[in-house]
Order: sequence, then C-alpha cells, then structure tokens
Amino acid sequence: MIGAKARKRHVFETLLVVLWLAGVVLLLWRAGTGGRAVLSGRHVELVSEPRLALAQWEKWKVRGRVLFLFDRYLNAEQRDGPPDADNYVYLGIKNGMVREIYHVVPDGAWDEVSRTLGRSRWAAAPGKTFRLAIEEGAPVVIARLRDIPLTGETALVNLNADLWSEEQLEDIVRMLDEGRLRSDLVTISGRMPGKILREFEAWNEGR
Amino acid sequence: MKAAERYMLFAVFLLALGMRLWGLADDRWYRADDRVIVDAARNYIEHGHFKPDDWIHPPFKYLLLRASEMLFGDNAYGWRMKNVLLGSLTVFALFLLGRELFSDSRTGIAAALFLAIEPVHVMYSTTVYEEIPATFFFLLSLYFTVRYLKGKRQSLLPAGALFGLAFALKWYYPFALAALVLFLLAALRRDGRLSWSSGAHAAAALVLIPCGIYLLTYYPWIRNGYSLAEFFRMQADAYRILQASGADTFVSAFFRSAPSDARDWFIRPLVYGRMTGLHGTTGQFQVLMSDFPVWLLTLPAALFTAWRAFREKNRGAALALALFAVMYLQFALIRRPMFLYSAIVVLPFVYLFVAFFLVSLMKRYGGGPWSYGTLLSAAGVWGLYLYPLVTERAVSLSFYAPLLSWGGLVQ
Repeated sequence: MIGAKARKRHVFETLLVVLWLAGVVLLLWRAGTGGRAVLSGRHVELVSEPRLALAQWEKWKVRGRVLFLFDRYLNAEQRDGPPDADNYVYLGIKNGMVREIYHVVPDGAWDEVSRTLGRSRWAAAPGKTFRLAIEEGAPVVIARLRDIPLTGETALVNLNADLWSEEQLEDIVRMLDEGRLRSDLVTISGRMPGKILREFEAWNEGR
Repeated sequence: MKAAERYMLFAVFLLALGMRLWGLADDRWYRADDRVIVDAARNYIEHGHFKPDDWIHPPFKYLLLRASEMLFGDNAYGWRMKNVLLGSLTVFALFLLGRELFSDSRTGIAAALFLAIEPVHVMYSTTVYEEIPATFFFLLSLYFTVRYLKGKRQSLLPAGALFGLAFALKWYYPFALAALVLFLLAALRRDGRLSWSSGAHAAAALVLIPCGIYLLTYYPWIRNGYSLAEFFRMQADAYRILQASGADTFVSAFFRSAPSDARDWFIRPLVYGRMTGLHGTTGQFQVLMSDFPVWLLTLPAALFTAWRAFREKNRGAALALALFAVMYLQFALIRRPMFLYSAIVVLPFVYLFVAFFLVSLMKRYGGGPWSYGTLLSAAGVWGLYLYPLVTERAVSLSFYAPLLSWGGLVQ
C-alpha cells in the first residue's frame, strides 16, 4: 500500500508533467504557425519560366508554405547555386519558403509517373496519390488534377500553363475561385488562353 | 563500497577516459562522418534543416553537439568531447547499475572494465555518433528506475527525463520503453504499490516526459511552419524510409560489405576490415570487430543470469534481461542492415551478464581476490592489445598475425 504522502507526491508530479507537456505542445504549435508568412489578398504574378517563381516568393517574403506545383517535374534537385529549372523548388525548401509540396502532374504523364513511383521503395501510395519525403523531411504528395487532396490551408500555386488543356486550366481557376484551393500568390508561366488570363488578372485588380 | 573498490573503479574510469582521449583530434576512418554532423548541427540550429546529414534520424544529437562545441570550442576536441566524457561516464553508470542489480560491487567493476576497453565503444566514443550518449542516458535512466522499484527513490521523473534524452537521440528505445513500463507496473502491482496515482505517475514520467523531450528537439524544424500533424506524418515517412533501407543505401563502401546481421553478433567472432598502410614490419588497418572472447559468452551468461534471477527473485536482473531481449530482438529481426556500432546500446547488458556469470563462477569455485584480479588483468591486457589495432595505429604485423589472418586482413 502506498501512503497518503506518496499519493500526493504522485498526483502533484503527474499534474506537473501533464502541464509541462501541454506547454510543449502549445510552444510548438505557436512556433509552427508563427513560422508561416501569408500575404493579405490574392496576387497573380506572370513569369516567363517556372523557375522564376522562386524570385516571386522571395519578393513577397513568403515563409513556411505549402506549394501546389502544377508541372511535369518536381524541380527539387538537391543542388545549391543559382536557381534553374531543376532545382528552384529545392532552393525554396532550403530557404524556408516552402515546407510541403502538392505536385500535380498532367494526365498525360501520369502513367509514367505512377509506374516509376510504384516501383520506388521510398514512395508510399495512399489512395490515388503517392507520397514521398525529400530533403529536410519536406513531404511531397503527387497526384493528378482530379485527385488533388485539398488542405484548406492558403497555399502558393506555381502553374506551368503549357502543360494543361484549356478545360483543365478552367478547372484550376474554378478551384481557386470557389476557394477549394486557397492561394495568396499564384505564379503562372507558359501560354495561357486570354479568357483565363483575364480571370487571373482580375484578381490583382480586385485586391 | 570498500576503499579498494573505489580505487579500482576510479582506475577503470581513468583507463576509459585515457583510451578515449588519446589522439582525439587525429583523422581516423570511423570519424569520417563527423564533419557532416557538425555542419548539419549548425544548419539545424540556425534554419531547422538537416543537410548535409539525413533528416530521418532524431535531431537531439545536433543540440548536444552544439553544447559540446560551446563548452570545448569549435574544433575536433569540441565536437568529440561530449562522446569522450559521456562514453567514459557510461562506465561509471554501468558500475552503479550493476551494483544495484546484483548487489555486488565486483560484478559492477568487472562490467565497467569490459565496457571501458570494448573496441567498438572506444572507437565511437571518439566520434560524434549518437549511440554513445544515448547509452549513457539510457543506463542512468534504468538505474533510477531500479532504485524506484526498490523503494530507494520516491520519484520517476529523473528516470523519465533521462529516458527522453536517450529516446531523442536514436530510435532504439520504443520497445524498451514498453517493456520498462509494463515491468514497472507489474512489479508495483506485486508489491501492492500499484494505484491509480502510482500508475499515472509512472505513465507520466516514462511516457509523457520522453514524448515531450522528443517533440521539443524538433523545435527548430517546426519553426519552418510545420504543424504537429505534419510532424507525425514526417515520423511515419522516416520510419518507412528506414525500413526500406538496404546495404546499398550506405554511402561508405567499407560499410556496404561490413557484417550487418545482428544475429551474428553473439555467436560468431566478428573481425572485419582492410589494410590502409604498410610500413615495413608494421601496418595500419581499418578494423571493425567484436570483443569476441566476451561477446561469445553472452548467451550462456544471459541464461545463467535468468536462472539466478528466477531462483533469487531478483527483479532488477529480470528487468535487465527483459530489456536486453527486446532491444536485441529488434536488431535481430529487423530487415535493414545493422552494423556493429548499433550493438553499443545492448553491450552494457552483455557486460553485466558476463561479469555476473564470471564473478559467480569464481565465488562458486572458491576464487578469492587473486582470481578476480587475474580476470580483471586479463581483460585489461586484452583491451590494451586490441586498442592500437582498432584505433588505426601502426601495429606490428607479427604481433597481431593471428588476429589479422583470422579476419582476412592480411594474406
């Protein structure tokens, strides 16, 4: 049997530990949310190449963000130096601007992508998506447009318009317009049909 | 504790410290990763990033390394002194644990000496590898837990905090944690000390504190905008990647062909390596080897300890056996390669069992101080013989011929 004094000590120490743990969780939650810099309003930036999105993220001083990348390749080759087409997403991670990537792959490339990832021992395949973790533990979810898991968090969007049909681009605009995919900074490269481009530009005018 | 035992323990500690300090700043093959971890520590503390290291291992090692650097300077001594000191202090912690478990200082001193001269422990105590501090914190945690079990301590909080530090260094301990908590609750129940308050206290100390410490060490990473949900998914990703790792994923060609099956550790003499320099009648070698005269006694010694623990209802010894079993089985059953340096975390148990076995045999057959002294001297001489070979110093080829030819290091 344990005495009343020992019981009191146990209760006191247990409460102390629970309070301390709650403090740890609160501290980490604050550190996590405090590590994200989100813009007010919606901004659309037209760039000549996908890699120039990095300069826009720098210009707008975004931090700790989810990126929806509409492109064929992840462009996250682990290479320091000046940003190019293959490493700019990696530099975005390395410089603390991007923390998680949703890589939306064009339908035409999906067979090849899913075949490669299906064979990889590093990729998990929950549902109709694949999940990888790259440098710095940054998660990458790879999916087709129709299967994108939406996070509810305001994200960066980098769209290589050359790879998507007009219909798909309209779908993307609709997702953004309806708030199913929320974004404060959309960077667009490639050729964009005028009608859709005007919709995007209207965002800048309306902000 | 008698004065003579105190002197012996101090001498063992000095031996451990000396073997780990000598040539600490020299380049050695087993220190090749140190620079990577040093750079990663800076990157982690400043940016919450793990490069150039892998992100799949817990990051407390970076914080510990930074503390060592702040104390001893940003140089080879500063980086490695944490392992030198904690590795040497592990010898002392093992003595304390051995004396507590077997109520016998002689077992504790013999186990401490075996660890002081253990080739793998000596080598990695002069690097920045996390196995060394993890083992130190784990042993101290166990010591405090055993003291609590015996009613010599009222609180488990220090045990939990130390376990948390071990847990935050390497993923070796989840099964040990489960075994420890179950064992503790069963022992408290048997003693009539289990109540809702003591059960909650044990869970808070041994589960919540380690979890909290583990979480806290990810603070720099989480500052990059991550949520706790993302943290848990990252841990799942790391686990998946670790499980999928094969020998081919290791960069070092030396390790790719090194012994990597934990099932061999205690049933085969393991001597692996290659020659790196030949200077007349002497040579230098990269060697990774078990202290096989002792390691091969592990299984009989563990069985002997189990028998004695059962007969004498020695719960401390039973706990040590349970922890050794779960920790060793995780290595033996895992699919990924397990190299010899991972054995460091189970070696304290090995040395406790072997020391208990040998000291008990001596007592059984009337061995007095002379036989005990002979055992310690023989162990010491063997350790000093191996020391230059495993620390990549030039050794006489003829003097080491049997060992070198057995390990295939020379033709």
